[in-house]
Amino acid sequence: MPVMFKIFYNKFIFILLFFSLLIPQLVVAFPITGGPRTVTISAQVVNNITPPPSGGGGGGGGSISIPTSVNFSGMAYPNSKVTILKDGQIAITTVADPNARFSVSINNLATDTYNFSVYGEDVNGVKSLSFSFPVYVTAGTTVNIAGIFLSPTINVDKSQVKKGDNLMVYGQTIPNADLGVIFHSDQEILKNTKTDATGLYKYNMDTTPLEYGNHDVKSKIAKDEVIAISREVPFIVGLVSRMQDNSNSCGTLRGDLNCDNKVNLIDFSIMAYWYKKLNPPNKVDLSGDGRVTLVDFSIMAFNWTG
Amino acid sequence: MNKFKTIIYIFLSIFLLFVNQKVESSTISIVPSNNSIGKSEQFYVDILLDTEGKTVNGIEGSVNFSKDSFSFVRAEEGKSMVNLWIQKPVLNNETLEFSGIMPNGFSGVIDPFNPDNKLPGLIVRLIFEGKNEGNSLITTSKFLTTLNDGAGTLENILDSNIAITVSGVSNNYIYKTKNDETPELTANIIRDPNLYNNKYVLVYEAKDSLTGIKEVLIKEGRRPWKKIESPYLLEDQSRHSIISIQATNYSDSSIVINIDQLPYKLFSFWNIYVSILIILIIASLFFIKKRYEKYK
Repeated sequence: MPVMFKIFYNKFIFILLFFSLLIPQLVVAFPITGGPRTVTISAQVVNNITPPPSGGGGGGGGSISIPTSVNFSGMAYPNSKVTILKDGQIAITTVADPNARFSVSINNLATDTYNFSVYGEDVNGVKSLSFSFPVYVTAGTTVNIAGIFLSPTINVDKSQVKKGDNLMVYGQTIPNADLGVIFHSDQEILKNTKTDATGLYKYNMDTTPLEYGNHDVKSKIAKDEVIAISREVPFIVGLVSRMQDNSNSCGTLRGDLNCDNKVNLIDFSIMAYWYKKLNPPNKVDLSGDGRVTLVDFSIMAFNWTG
Repeated sequence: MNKFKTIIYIFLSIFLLFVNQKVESSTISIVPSNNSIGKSEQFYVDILLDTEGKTVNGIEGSVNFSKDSFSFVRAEEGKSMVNLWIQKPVLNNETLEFSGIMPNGFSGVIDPFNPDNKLPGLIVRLIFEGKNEGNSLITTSKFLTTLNDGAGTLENILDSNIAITVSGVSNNYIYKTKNDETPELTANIIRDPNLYNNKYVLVYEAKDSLTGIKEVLIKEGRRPWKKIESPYLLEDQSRHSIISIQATNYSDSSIVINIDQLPYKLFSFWNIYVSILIILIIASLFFIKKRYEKYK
């Protein structure tokens, strides 16, 4: 018995050592923010020699046209607006088809590294999370970024809900799909619902089991083993209910300092004015630490719409 | 002896379980064009960011060097992954400080021919010139990145350094980036209660994809050209001057854009006020004249 124990014990120690070495690799591989992990990026070299226009005198050589383009395709929401940013500025917008599929190209690019990002906007003007693709583009190539699966949009009807009342969680994603609504409380609560033919979903949550205090809710959808997770929306369980005020876009889009429903150069300039200055306005100090630092700019960059 | 070994194993396992769980932080590397240079020879160092698989959206830090060994020439940010500079590289004695953001995040440059292997991104290219003979270090310090997680989670980056040797041989090589491109410039005039007390302010974004922007100048009406930074409080708050903005890159290629003045309003408060005042004065003069003639 002691011999058996010794062998078992040594094996246990060996396994423990093995896993302790493996754990950091697992931690590193796990993404911090939900990204489009199934996005496929590929490139093809295109050498397209355009013949010279016929007619005209003199013959002479033809011009060589080297098309350079980046194609984006994936799933957004039915008939929704999809925006592609290039280095933080809106490069092109498109509209997804009724099945939520979109496809769009940016052409005539010079050889350079571009930071592309993609986001969608639902029927209520609520924006998805943005996904970024810093891609090196060389002349004469076509880069395909396919399989983009935009995160569902999400909103709640009340910023504060009276314990026991219903809280409506709603948003949009792909049509006719199963969707999970996840409440982050002391204990995570998962509820299931379905999207309709237009990709809209709603779930009425009975808040009786939720504790008083701050909570978050997000939605999750899976299709063909691809998972897309929405941003988290906060709400409070309290003694009275307060309706969510969505008329003021500044309330929903952090970093939209001038309330134009965009987070762009103008908002950046306002924040840059207050950088390291004393007593910035509460609206500009997004982190609420009494000063404008890199942290506030980071929150703005996360919500950037161009 | 076996007991001792077992105890060592257990402690080692526990140590590795806890210590190795730390997530890899981003790294900054300094890549010089040349490790050995001559006196008066210009060279560059690229400051590269490797996010180690994470998505970051903000960076700030300093680069330090010895003024006895090198003189700073300029910073080229045209090929930087930083899209918006909060603070462009500014020289303060022997330290260059800078900060900026990458909207929607950066997790490494994707080579579409090899998409699984993400490459480090350039933050800035710093051009120096060799001065006095000897070995000297260029070091990074106080580097921070913020995660693209919506909360601005800060992450410290370890310092990095590179040794450069300045030989006694003079070499008057001037580093120049070939650039045939014209800069891009977008500008808006805005008013916001949180910016210069709701006065007219110019905000702009000037970009050059190769070398970067050397300077931006403004001309308001008949006022002389003036070097500015965004956001800029306009001198003419009436907005009745044509505004010209010029962005120039390090190859001295420029772009100028004009912003028209606001049209004069015929029925503005001021115009109505002045008109009424003039009418009253004329009427008064007319009345005085009449009275004067009557008494005369």
